[in-house]
Formats: sequence, C-alpha cells, structure tokens
Amino acid sequence: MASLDTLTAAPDGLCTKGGLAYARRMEHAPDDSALMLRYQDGDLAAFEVLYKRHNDALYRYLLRLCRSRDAAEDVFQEVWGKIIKSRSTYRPSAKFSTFLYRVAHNCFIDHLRRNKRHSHYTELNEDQHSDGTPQPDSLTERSLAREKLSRALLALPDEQRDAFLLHEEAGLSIDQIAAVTGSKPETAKSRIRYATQKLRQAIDEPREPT
Amino acid sequence: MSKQPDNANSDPRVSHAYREIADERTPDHLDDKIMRMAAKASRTPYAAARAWMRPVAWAATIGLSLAIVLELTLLPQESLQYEAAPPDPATSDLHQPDLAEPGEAAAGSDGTGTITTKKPLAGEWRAREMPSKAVPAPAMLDEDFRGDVGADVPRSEIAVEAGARRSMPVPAGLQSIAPQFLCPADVRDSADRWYDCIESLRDTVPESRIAAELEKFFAAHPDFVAPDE
Repeated sequence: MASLDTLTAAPDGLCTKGGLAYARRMEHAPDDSALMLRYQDGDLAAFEVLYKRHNDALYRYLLRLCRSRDAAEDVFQEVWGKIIKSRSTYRPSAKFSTFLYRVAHNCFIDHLRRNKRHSHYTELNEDQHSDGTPQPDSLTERSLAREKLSRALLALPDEQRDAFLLHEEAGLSIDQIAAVTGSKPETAKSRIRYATQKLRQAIDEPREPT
Repeated sequence: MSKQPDNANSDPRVSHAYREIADERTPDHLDDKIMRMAAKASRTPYAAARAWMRPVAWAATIGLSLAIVLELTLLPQESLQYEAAPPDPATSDLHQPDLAEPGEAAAGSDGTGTITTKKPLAGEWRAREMPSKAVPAPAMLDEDFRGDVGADVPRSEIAVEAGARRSMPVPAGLQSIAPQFLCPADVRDSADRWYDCIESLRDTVPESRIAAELEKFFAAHPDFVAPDE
C-alpha cells in the first residue's frame, strides 16, 4: 500500500480520471480514513488529497442522480459541507467511501423532499459535452451510443439508477450499497441487475433511422 | 474491484459503455468553494486550540507538580511555626501562667529567668515577654510537648518552656486540658488533687509523661511533700 507521502506526490491527473481513479480508490480505501483523521487534526493538505480522490466520482453520481446540474452542485456542496462538519466526530468504523456516499444519498433524499418539483427539473442534455459545447449535427455512432445509454440511464427508476451509480462510480459492493440506501442486499442486487439489463438493451438496440 | 458475486450482476459492456460517457469533472468553482470551506473549518478555534493545547497542558502539569512538591516540602516547617490565634474565651485560663501565682513563681524560680505572669490580652497570645533565657527551639518544644523531657533539664527552664509552649494554639475539643499537662486545670488548682491525678495516671500514661508532669508539679509546688515520703 502506497504511503501517504507517495500519494500526495502523485500527479494530479492520476487520481481524477474515471477508471484509474476507480481502481485506486478501492486499493487505497483504508488511507481515506487516515486522511480524514489527519484533517481532523487540522491537516488541510490531507483533506485536499481526500477530496481530489472522490470529488469527480461523487459529482458524476449526483449529476445523474439529480438529473440536473444545478441541483447536483447544490447537493455536492451540501455533502462536502457535512463531511467537513463531521470531521471532529469522525470515527473510521466503516470505509470512508461508504460513509461519503451514505451522506450523499441522504442529502439527495433530503433534496427530493425539499424540492418536490424534481420531476420538472431540466434533465441533463446528454447531447452536450461536459463543458456545454453542443455536438455537431452529424452525430457519430459513438455519440449515438452515448446518447442512448445516457437517456436509458436517466430513464431508470431512481432506486435502480442509484444502485447502478453506486456500483459503477463509487465501486461499492452489494452489501455497502445496501447499507448506503438502507435496503437489503438482495434488494440492492436485484436493482443493479434490472438496471444493467435495461442499459444493455439500450446499448443493443439498433440505431433508429434519422 | 468489487467481489465476484457483485461482478455477476454487472455487465462488462455496460460498465465499459458507462465509463465512456462518464467523463464529467467537478467544476473548478465548486472545487474552490469546497476547499475554502475546508480551510475555514480547519481554522476554527477548536482546530487552532489543538495546536497550542499540548504545550500548555505540559506547562500546567509541570507547574502543578512543582507547586505540590513545594507545598509538601514546606509543610513540616510550617507546622512548627506558631502564631497568635485568637484565644477562645472559654479557655482563657490557659493563657494564664499556670505555673503559679506571681509570688510563688518568683519564689520557685532559681532566678535564672523571669517567668511572665502577665495575663495576655485577648488576641495577643504571643510569647512576647519571654524570659531572658533563649526561647527553646521548636524541636525542643515539640519534644517537651510530647513529654520527652530530659531528666537534666532544670525546672525553671521547663517552666519557661511551658510558658512559651502555652502560646501554641490548643486544638478544639482539648481545651479543657492544656496539651502540656496531663491533668485538667481545675485539678491543678489544688496541689493534693494534682498529685493524686498524676498518681492515678501512672498505669495508663507513659512514664516519661508522668515524669514531665511531676516536674511541672514540683515546679509549681516545690514545697509539696508526697504522701509516701
């Protein structure tokens, strides 16, 4: 397991890209608690490492869960605000990622209750890149596939989308997903299965003629 | 990665496809906001206090330890120093020279020292008018208080010492009997009764205390003839 010094000296891009960040997160999960405990003692640099390790994945999770960029940013701030506030009472009784996504899930639920017009939120326009630049009119196969998958993902029921995103973005196990969502492991497993089936159908659907 | 049972519920194609679309990154303004929040929280009084709490705790511990050690070191010396204590009116007779009436005291002494017969004023219970002989050292006073008086100590000196010792405060509850006497004051008013009191205590009081009491007795009543003599 890499030491903290090695992790802090790693290039910035090493911990931010999707797949690699996913693998590193799972490998160095125990260090998350150590970083949080160091931040508890006032080490801001430790928090920065911890934040950069989880910020993008959490943002994508909330982005597709809330189906609104503004709502995702609000909930994102709320989640990290709670994490920061809880630093004085933080105890590494569970994996930090489980703790983080449990807070995120609960904040999302609170957000739903506060804003009962969730169904009227402007859905993410998956035709746009993350920087908001619209794609050219001539869509490529890849772009169409991306669009179909994104639409299918957003069309999933909230519980199934939540379980799928916790599995893909946070890398949580079935038991951890059950703990985060407050459901039984079998329930979490079936939600992931149904979500995966629907997304697979969306990927395998033949291209619709334009 | 996830466990084998979890992978059974996921489709590698779906995961790969999702990874291709999930390329969003946290906006910079959001990162800055969160880091400012974290920095502000780390500068709270709680966090700032932790930085200096340890040296302050060490200093407090060392200071308290030194204070306790000094207190314990000085304590035995302080207990030997006696100062004026407001005399209890109920026991004002203790302040009076129990040795004898002025005339008898003068007659009893061998002239080596004057015995104060002046009744101290209330609140002025100090051995001011000490005899010309040096005031006995606290250690000697302490020994005498315990009755360990050497056999070769002159009676006059014992009387002086008794007078000096009289300035020591009498604990509450024992005010009816002066600490330097075995017999109470009302018994000591009469020579016969005093002698009888001393004799009655021979079986229960150490011989040294009996001897000391007898010394005081004969200092006060030098002409007394014991019944068995």
